[in-house]
Amino acid sequence: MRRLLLCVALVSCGHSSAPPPKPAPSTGIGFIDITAASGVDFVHDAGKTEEKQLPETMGAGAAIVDVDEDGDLDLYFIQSGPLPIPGKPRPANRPTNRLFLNDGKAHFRDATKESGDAAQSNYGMGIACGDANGDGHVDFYLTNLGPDVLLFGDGKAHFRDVTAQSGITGDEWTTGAAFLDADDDGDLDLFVTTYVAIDLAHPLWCGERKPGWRSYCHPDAYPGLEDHFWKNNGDGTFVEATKEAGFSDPNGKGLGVAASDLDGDGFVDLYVANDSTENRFYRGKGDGTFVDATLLSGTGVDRFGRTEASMGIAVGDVNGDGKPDLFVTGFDDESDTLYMNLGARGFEDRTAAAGLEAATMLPVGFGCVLEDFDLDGDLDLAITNGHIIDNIQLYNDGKTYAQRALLFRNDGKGRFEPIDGGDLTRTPFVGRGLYTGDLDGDGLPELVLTQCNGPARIFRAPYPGTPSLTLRGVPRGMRVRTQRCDVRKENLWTHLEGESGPQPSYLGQSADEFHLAVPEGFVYELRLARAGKIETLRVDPPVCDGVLVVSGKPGALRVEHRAR
Amino acid sequence: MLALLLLFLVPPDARASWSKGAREEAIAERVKELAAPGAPAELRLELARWELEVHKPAAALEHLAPLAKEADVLRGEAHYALAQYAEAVPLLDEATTEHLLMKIDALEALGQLFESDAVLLRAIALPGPGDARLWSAEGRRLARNGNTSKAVEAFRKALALDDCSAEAWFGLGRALLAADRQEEGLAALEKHRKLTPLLDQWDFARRAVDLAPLHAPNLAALGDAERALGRLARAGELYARAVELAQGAEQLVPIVLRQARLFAEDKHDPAGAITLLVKAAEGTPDARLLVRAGDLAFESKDAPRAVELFERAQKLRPKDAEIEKRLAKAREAK
Repeated sequence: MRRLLLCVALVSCGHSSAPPPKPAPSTGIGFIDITAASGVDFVHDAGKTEEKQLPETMGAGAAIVDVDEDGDLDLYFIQSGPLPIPGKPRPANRPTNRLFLNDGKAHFRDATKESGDAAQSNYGMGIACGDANGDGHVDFYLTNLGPDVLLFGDGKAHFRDVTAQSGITGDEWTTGAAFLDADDDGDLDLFVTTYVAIDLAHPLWCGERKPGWRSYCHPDAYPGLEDHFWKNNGDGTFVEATKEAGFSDPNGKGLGVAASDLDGDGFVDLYVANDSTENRFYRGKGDGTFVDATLLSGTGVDRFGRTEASMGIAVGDVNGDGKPDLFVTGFDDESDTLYMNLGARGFEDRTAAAGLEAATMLPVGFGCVLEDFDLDGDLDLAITNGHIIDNIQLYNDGKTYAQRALLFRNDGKGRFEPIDGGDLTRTPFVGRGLYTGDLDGDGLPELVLTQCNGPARIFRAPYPGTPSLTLRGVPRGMRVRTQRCDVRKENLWTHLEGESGPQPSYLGQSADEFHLAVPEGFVYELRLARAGKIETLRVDPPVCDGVLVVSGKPGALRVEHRAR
Repeated sequence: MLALLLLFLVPPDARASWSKGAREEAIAERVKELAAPGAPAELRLELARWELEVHKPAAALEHLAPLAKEADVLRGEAHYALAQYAEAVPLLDEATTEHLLMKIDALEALGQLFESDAVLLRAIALPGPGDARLWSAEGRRLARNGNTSKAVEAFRKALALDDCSAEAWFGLGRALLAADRQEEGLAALEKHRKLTPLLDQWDFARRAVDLAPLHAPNLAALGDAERALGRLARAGELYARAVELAQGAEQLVPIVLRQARLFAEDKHDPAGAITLLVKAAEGTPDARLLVRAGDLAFESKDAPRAVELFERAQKLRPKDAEIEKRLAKAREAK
């Protein structure tokens, strides 16, 4: 009753109790390119060569993360530059990764120079963010073509390279990375995907031997490599535990990796997107060990039993049944794939039934995000595309190097319809990463798109007018439910929001936040669950708009509401 | 009129170019031929078929534009290749298995599962031995509708027609799991897992052949992939064709060595392998061929023949320590 009274008191949200009508099915979402106004001028340099070396086609990623702890989301872009060819020194003045700090309104300033060791100039691939050393500040793990780098952040947008002391070694070609608490000991362990073994000093020739026809080689031309699992000692130093933890995929060609409790047993699982080899589903046992459950899960190959050139991953409950589904992007002439979670029966490729097959068949999909772009309460889908072969039109006149991104609206039951996405979908890009985060603090996430050998782009969607809450700070791997109340109908209901933790997309990560459409009623309670333990946080007074910031450690979490 | 008559009487240059593998030139020549007034529709259809073969579906559509309904099926194929499924479906006929499969696939890609299933059921009902791909599609349809026991049967029919069907092994494994037959299901999925890299290798090799169909190493690589899959007759055909097309010893020798391995190891015919190697060495004197032939003779306990072959190899590569070692061993056994 008290809750209802509080809801009654909150008429200041200024909306009627009736939810706004859902947009007409064919209506698009008019994303606007705000890159120029944002001040972000990052341009990826792939270090292209006449030899057409495979790494030139891959990068690069980015992260949306608050590095200076001022409450807004900053941007960090991974750079590549000249290839590290053995015996050929890289130029000293090569381009670096870049950090852009947000003023809270999606206006950024380049803070690379004062970011310390964040100004890395390796041949970069991707990034994972998390508090590796438990000091409360976000740290970066950077994957490279060559040795990776671990950077500790100080919460003031300044980073320190601690790789040498971290215990992390190796100089393979790494790509995706994910921080996760695999053994439930309160610190973040690290999983890193490796791609292929390549000899840059002796490049292969692929394609026809005619001027202009040399092409990039298919990854089948190179041997795969074992991924790596690094166990955190609790202080941000790591020890390799790949075999001990139960990982084995010596021929895998890993790109994307997602850490999430996919089977709903309370423990974090890992899903690895392999390029042209079988994907891997590792079921976490909660004690730092994993079981290869690929065969039982049905997520290794598509429904035709074919391996796919899997790249990016998005995780989310697309049909509202409370179970996280998997979306994986792939190469041309194979669709991207939606693996619907059937619970105890594993997953099933329902791409065609979901309406995602035809539109994704020809493009080469990379970054992908599931997000409620129209704030209608379900997860929509955005995909960035772009071929890896820059002269592909010579080999197939139906294909292009730059390709349009795709935007799909969800009908709430997991059936998607391609829609116009304004500037996002009207211009072809050589897309690679695609990430979401509310950069301007209006409650609706923007999209950040990275290109291979081209400028990054930022897109803003028009605000649909629906009240919404942004939820931040929930410890990684917790399943979030909101308890809601409705004044007029005088009832209470639960809404499952999903699992906390940044979405990986391709070689990077989106902001670690939820966007909760609250078309009717108010949120009066958060229920956060992990490994069978549930914490209930009262939101008092109930709210329907603004930002909910969760802080503290599991067992002593608290929530605070902030107005936008 | 004369030009038209000539087109029929004189074999067009384009066709000659195409048959010798000069595919781009053939297409360019054919485009020129079509510029002549009154060029027959058949030449245009042939051009479109070539263009589809070299992954130029957009060009095929353009060149088919002046034609009427006789071009519809090719138009359907072109739209299918461009993932323009809505356009492809009404144009594809149901006269061939390939077109049926395209139509089923296109309808499924469009999410029109009911329509896709209807075409599939018509295809399955056709008389004849059937096609593994159709039976796999039927298995998937049945599994999707929850009829797992019938799905298992359908996948088994597919495997009876093609035991290298990844789709059928995977579908069978999933259907058995759904039927709570976990042990059998996992066994089928393990089989699928082992088969998959071999099929990927085959697909990779096939794409290389597709790109350059007369390049001998490409054909030999496809032969390797066929051999790995246990399809020995097809592997043998591909090696033989690769030998015919090989240019120079550097291309020929590795191919003949693989061809000989097929005879010796898979067909258990070392004598046939030796004959092959010796014959190749007559045309392309290369010690590697004779050493391998000598090894096979020695393994077949024919030491005198081995000595003879190693001696011939030694003449081609004097003072080679490896050959000397082999020769000594063979002489000792003799």
